[in-house]
Amino acid sequence: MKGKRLLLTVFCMLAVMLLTSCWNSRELNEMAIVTGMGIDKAPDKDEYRVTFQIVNPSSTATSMGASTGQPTITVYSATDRTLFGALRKTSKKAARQLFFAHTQLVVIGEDMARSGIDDIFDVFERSHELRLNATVLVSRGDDANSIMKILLPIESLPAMGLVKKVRNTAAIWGENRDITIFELINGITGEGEVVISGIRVIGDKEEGKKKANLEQTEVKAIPAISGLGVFKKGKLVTWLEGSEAKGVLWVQNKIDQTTVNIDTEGSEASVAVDINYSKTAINVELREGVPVFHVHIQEEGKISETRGFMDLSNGDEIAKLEEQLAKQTKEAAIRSIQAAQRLESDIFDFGNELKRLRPKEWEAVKEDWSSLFAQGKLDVRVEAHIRGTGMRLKPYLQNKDESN
Amino acid sequence: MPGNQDPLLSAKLADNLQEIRDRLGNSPDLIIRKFELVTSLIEVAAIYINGLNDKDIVDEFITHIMAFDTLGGDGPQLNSVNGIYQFMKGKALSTGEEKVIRDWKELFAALLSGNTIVLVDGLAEAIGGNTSGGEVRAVTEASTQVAIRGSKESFTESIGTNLSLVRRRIKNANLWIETMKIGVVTQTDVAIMYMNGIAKESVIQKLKQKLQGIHIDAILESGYIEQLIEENKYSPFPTLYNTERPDSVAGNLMEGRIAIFVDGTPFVLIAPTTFFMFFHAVEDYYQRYDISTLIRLLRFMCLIISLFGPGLFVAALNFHQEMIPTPLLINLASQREGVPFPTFIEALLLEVTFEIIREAGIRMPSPIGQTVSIIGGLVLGQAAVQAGIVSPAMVIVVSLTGISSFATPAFNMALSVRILRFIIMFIAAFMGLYGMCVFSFILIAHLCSLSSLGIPYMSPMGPFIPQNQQDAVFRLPFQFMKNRPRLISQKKHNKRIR
Amino acid sequence: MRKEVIGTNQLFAMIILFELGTAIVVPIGLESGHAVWLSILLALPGGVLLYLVYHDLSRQYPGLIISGYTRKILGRTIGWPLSLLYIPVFMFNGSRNLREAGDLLIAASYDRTPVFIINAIMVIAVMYILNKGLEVFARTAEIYLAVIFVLGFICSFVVIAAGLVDFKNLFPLHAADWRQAFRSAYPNIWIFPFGELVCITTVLPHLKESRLSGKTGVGAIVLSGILLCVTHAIEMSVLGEDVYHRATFPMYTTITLVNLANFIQRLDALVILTLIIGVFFKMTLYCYAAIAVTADLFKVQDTRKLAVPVGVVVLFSSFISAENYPRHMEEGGVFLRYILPVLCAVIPILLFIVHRIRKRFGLLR
Repeated sequence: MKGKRLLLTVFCMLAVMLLTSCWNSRELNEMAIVTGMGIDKAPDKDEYRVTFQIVNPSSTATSMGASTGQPTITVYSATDRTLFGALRKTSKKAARQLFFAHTQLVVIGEDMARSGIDDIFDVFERSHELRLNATVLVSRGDDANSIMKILLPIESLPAMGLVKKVRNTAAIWGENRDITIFELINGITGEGEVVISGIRVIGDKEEGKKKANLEQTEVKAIPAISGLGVFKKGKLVTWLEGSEAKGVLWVQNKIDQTTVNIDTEGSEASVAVDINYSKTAINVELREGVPVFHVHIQEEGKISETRGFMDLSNGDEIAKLEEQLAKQTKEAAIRSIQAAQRLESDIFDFGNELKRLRPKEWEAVKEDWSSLFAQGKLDVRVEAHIRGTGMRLKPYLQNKDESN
Repeated sequence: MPGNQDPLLSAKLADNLQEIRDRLGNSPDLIIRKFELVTSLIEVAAIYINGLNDKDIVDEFITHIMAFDTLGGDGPQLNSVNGIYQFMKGKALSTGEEKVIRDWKELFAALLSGNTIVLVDGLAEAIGGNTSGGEVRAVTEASTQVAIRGSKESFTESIGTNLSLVRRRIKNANLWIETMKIGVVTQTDVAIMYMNGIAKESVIQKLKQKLQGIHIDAILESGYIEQLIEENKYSPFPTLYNTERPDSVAGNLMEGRIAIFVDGTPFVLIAPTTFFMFFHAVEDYYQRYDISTLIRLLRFMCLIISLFGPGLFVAALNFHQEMIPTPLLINLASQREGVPFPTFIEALLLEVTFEIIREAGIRMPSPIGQTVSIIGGLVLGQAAVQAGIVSPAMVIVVSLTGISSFATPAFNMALSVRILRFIIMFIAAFMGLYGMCVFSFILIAHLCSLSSLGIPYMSPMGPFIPQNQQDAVFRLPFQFMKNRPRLISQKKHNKRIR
Repeated sequence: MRKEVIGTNQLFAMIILFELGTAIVVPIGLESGHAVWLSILLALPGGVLLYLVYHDLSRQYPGLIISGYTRKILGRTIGWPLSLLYIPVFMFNGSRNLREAGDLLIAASYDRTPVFIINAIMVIAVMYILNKGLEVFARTAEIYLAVIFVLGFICSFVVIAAGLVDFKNLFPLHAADWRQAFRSAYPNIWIFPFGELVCITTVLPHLKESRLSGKTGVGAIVLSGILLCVTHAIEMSVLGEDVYHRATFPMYTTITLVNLANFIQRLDALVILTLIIGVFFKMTLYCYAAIAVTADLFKVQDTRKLAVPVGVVVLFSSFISAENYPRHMEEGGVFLRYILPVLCAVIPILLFIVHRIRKRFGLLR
């Protein structure tokens, strides 16, 4: 009796399996893996032009069969009013269904960025395939389409290569950072504004598309991370460079590791300090209706190089350097905040902080926060510590004063 | 014995001998040695089956009978048949195990299990002397449950030897043995062995009832008993454990379990069995606890791999491509580029090939078996990959699964896992991970619903028994292993360490 | 037929799995802003008290489930129809859980699979386990409790290790936040998930050592409350208030953000697994409760025969009840506000009071 029922159940299950097709089942060789996406404004129309970078599995380095000689990626693009429409429209050109779960990079064309990006991320949230932790970049002075087409040396998949570039420079240089869609959405819904790193192609774009370009030691076109785009109300307004960009990241507490060349008495920017720890605390309060931004930066580093003589075995010398380091950091931070104030763009989320800590006061000022932000007073404090001097104390250069 | 309709022996020797010959169909291995007693000239016959007995003992036994009335000669009524019989029964026989036989059924039972029967003319009774012996395999090293460290003995086909092997390990009066004959035709000797005072009375009773309830013509191996007494006949999981290692039996007896010995097989059943027993090896107790625990965890990992391995791979490749890290996915995609089959068919193809190789290898004599596995495994696998019929990753997954299934110490459990693996593969191809997850609910609920002699199969996990956790998934140091399995043994909980 | 007996460990496991059930995956207490974790903690004492009421009632009437003592306390004429109310509510709640699991699966991965098939597969498993009886269900729960703990540990570990947790999203707590937290704690979180435990009253009579049911149950509720609080605090701290509130399944979104060493990413399967396990046990307990009440009211001897009909009803009502997920959530709001509190809190407390009064004045037969 019991056995009969069991058999019947098994039979039913099998019947169900055989009678129904496998709805969600997809074979790997029936789909095209998208690693990167470029979003541009279509010329003359209020439409998106979306470019997809698709992996060509048979010519990736791991393939063991005979290489087909094709490049590792191929690029399709489509135009539509919605992003999702464009995704699907690509099927006219692609033989396989696009698969988006491995999209790691989204590049936004500069035109698109200047005309506003607030409304493009909904599909990323809603879809289960697209990832929220894909990196976002803005193509600087160019459209996203042409960035997508460039092949990279060493990295066989350009989209992943670009992501690695951002992460690499963010980790050790600190003028840019890896901003994900998730952070952007949080930025857009929050009270502040967002920044996105830029990417620019150096060299000949046409050559960059060719596989032959990779067969030389110095490629003719290489995309490089460049600048930090500042947005206001979802529109790109300007690019910050160099120490201003670094200052932004410092205030945002996003510095992981960076290098500062600090001035000494004799010469400018002659001691390289490798900052390997940095932490920033911010606090906002209203004093008589005007916001005051308290920024407290703590940083630690070690001396990596010095261009002249300096008695680094002397604690007082180090203390002087620390002071100088703190001063330069403070200047960078202040410059970056002032730059943002000029643009009336609260990229540091000071607004969010005020709302979080003092919700009642926020209610009063939220209407004209941008202008209040621009008038805000700064209180930047930096604590800098130099913890080491590397493998040597004194440099091999002699002290000129003594030897003479 | 109630219901015994067999007539009693007749008083005439010739009639009896004729009856025996008739009933055995004049079998050539039936040996009848007729002789007259030296002094009283009474006809006596000794009957035995050639080959079932130890020749020396039989000869000695017969010599004894022939000459016994010359020995003392002072017996009171040596001239009468009855007197001789009494004397014979009481004093003269020296094999140690004699019994008086009155009916045919008893006579044949004794004769066919290796006794020598003595019939005396004029008496309607016979004497059976246990002279059994003959050719048996010597005690050798275990061939199925090999241990690096530990006893090298294993059971043989002789039940007597087997019982003694355990008895030698537990020198305690509380090691009790009960025997019975099962199999209407084969009359196979079956013995149950348990530690009196440790094993639960109710479990013993239940087992005895079940054994007595067996009505079958033949018991040729303990597998017959296993299948006839298990409670869940439609489950793919074995609910009785078998072993050919005496130390394993001894260990289990000490935990309060019962061993079932069957004559003619070296495989001894152990009941009640829990799921976790199948993943324990005797060596776990001989090695240090840390090594044993890690090895046990490894075995459970292997169980999971061998159950879910190919299913998980198929599900991930067909349904959940987003789960695979990007570089790995691209790698897999490039491998699959030229493969003409869907993933599931590819997996099925390889799994079936693997099963064929395994089955072909097992039945072959071992040198050929190795050739089969080399040709099958290495050559076929390599060629299939190079021909682009299967992807290398699939070969890796299937071989990993195969190897993992060998890591289960109990072969019968590994067999069940093999069946389930295919079902899981089907479900994975049909519904992906979700299907596998729901199937594992059913699987675990099924495991929890099983019982072995009334003891929950999944104990001590479901039901969870905290004090028995030292020896299920983990193997703690001996000072922590104070408790016997709570559901199985009697209430004297202290064990091993006092 | 032998009476089925479960142990305290099993009750503990069942309560925890039931409480975590769907509550761990779907957003709860939306009114409380970022202080959702606080409102869970605030609702916890209420949940414990409510459980003690259930516990006390079943101690007073050993061997009787809720429909049994309702009739004893209020008399047959009032008690019978009142108990009858529990059957559709239990089944509807079970079907809602099923619906939520099905919708997450469809949203997350099985977008081309009919909801009927997805739900049917789950219901087959539920019917199987109910057919095996309460003991088997309880043992399975014990084993899956360990699985849930392992999953939970892995999930929180990777989320924390990936550095996603930002405590700024949880603090500070202003007076307004406390008020909001309290408002969403009572009655919403108090009823869902704590009040839903009313269906555990059908299990309590099977407990081997019934005097321990109080201690075990309270322990389980407190532990599950803390687990819920921690989980939702992690979700909130990772996602921030805005995304948490807009997400249909915040836990899923949280885990998709994980990217450890560029290799451990997309652990969504773990969350889906957690949800399936939670929903499975919650639904099974609901179905069991419905079966137990039905069997008690209509004097059905072999309760296992009811497994299939109840399963089928739950299956169909799971997708007939609402045409889409937003509608489903709306219905849930109404259900949570007007119906569940009556059955989960008002009736048991009423029973408790009536019982005490009758006992005090010696009105018990």
